[in-house]
Amino acid sequence: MKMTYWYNDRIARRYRLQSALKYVGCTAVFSILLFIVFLLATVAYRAIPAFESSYMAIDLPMEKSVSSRTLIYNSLYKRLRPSTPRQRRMARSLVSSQAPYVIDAYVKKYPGFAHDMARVWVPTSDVVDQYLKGNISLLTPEKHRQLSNKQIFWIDALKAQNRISRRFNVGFFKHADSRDPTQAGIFGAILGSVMTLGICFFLTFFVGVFAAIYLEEFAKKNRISYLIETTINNLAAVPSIVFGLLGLAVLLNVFGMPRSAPVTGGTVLAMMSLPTIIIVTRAALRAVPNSLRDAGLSLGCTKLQMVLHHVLPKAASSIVTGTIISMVQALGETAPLLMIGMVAFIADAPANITDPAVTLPVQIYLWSTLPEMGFAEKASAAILILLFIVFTLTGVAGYIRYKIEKK
Amino acid sequence: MKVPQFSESKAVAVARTTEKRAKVFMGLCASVSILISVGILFSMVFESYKFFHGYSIVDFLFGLHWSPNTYGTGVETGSFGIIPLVVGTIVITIVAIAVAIPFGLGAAVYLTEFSDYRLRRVIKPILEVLAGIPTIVYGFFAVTTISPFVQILGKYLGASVSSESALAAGIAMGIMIIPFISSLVDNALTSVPNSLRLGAYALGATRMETMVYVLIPAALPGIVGAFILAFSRAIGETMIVVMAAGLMANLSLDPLDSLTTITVQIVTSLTGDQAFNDMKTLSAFALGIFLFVVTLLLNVMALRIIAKYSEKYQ
Repeated sequence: MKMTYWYNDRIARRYRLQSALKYVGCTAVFSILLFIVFLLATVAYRAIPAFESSYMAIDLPMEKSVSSRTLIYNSLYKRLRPSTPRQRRMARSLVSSQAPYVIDAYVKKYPGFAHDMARVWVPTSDVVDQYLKGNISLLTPEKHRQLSNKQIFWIDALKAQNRISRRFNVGFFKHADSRDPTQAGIFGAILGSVMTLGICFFLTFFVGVFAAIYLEEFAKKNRISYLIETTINNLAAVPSIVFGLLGLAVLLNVFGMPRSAPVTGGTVLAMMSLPTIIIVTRAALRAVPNSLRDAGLSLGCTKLQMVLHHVLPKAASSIVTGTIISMVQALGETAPLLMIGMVAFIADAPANITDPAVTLPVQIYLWSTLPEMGFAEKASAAILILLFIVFTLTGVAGYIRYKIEKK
Repeated sequence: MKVPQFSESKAVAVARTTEKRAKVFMGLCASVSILISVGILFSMVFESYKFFHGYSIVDFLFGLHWSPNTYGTGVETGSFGIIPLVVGTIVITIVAIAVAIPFGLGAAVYLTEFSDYRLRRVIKPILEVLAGIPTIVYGFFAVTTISPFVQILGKYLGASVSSESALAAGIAMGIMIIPFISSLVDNALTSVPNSLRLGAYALGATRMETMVYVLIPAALPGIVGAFILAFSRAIGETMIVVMAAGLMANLSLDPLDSLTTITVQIVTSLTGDQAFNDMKTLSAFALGIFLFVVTLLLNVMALRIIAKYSEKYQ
């Protein structure tokens, strides 16, 4: 039989409160998970169309005397039969401005094409691409729509004849930026990011590790080492945009380094990530047991030998983890790069580190500010790729740390 | 008796000089960080000195109008008054903190006291992943998803919401700093000595009572420090507000309005085409040094609070 005491109610209430707090915390955790899933899902959903683009078949007669542009237009007129100049203009605007280059490439590849009629697939214009992806509604009145009724009629007819198709957009991975959304790609941005990060890594890693070794193993505890320590801790918390201002005032205007170039961007990012690398390396060195140091010294090592041969190898994997994390941070950084002019439209992939370039996050920013719908999906796709790289690197770092902890 | 003389062998001498040289070299590496700080200070002070040569520092700090584009054209409001930017920054930051604190604190409380270690082992890396997402992604998310959502919600509730509302930018920023807050609070809570926790249990406290009456008060300085650090980080955040917040400086406290921030103005005044010694360009450095000083003070304050607290239990 259960006894009834005056305090039973109170205990019950106290436990109810406990489970209430538990549920609140649980809700917080799962909301955070939900945020992540929702964020990734919306970005992925927006990005998927960017991996496909539309192509239109163009029949080429053997006329070598006219330009590719005229060839395309003649072929379009022949098939669509526009009656007025206005309709002709509409017909012309169905293909991408890049289409003549595709024809040129085709003619170059097959100099005298054997048969009378050759069928070449050329990219459609962005508006047609967007219509085919279902982004242009027929419910909006013709005046406010980017495609006229006639154009839509043509597109549907061409589609019915299998003369329009959607294919995997290889160009997105092969091209640099372009004014034409169907032609814009991320290759230039990826190359820019690789160069910038490479510079950043070479400038920070060695200096950072040596600085950490000095502070942790060699420096006497005096005013100067205290000053260096506080400086490093405070630098790590300075907003990244301030490093951009420093880059603008010192690197560009005093040292005259090239604007918008990976070498300048990499240097700015290096100044930003140096404190982080020093901090993680110091933590890694501190985690090495002192017995190892004493053993080394007692066997007659100099201090330098002791650090380089015994302590550093032991701390290496933690240092690698920390370095990866700080490089990932630098990879995602945008604001300081805007300050040194890495926001220009650049149609060519950089050939070396002093060429103007953009990085992946800057490319996302540039695309997201443009009004064309084609660029919005490109921005999402670039985000997806950026996140893929970030997650992979974080995963590698996490795996290394997991291995260390297991040991 | 003859004292035996030992002369240093050549190898030892070489080792000694290498040691010395290496030490000097490493010391130089360590002082690079000081060089960077000095560089920041000098460049900022030098450029803003040029700015304050042409514009009064009092008008800069207490002016109620920020409209650099009309400066020098004879329009009366063409001026560099920082107050609207500071207010905009604070409003957006407060929204962000208000979003981040419940989730960050809740998650930290749950993970330290209620969850079993397996869940903790899964959730912590996920929070780290969230912390690793570049801010440009949050900015894009704010523009494409949060902002339209806030607008629709506003229309439904009968409030007029600007398309570049401070609310949307603040929410995105809040999501960004959740993992930051939760990991710092988590650290603060786990570094409370276990004896306090066990003592509370021994007195018959429930987990909730242990948390609310023992652990949180004990870790309070750490938690407050975490909030200050988060605040300072939100102030310096750039890409989210550049994408989602407004460009026009309105002096308003309403988060549904379009407000601008210090970082947004730094970016807009430096990404156009203008001469380097233009007042508008120079104003970016004045804003930069303001931002630098404010975040530095907040950080020093937070680190002091945290250090003092960790002393208490050592």
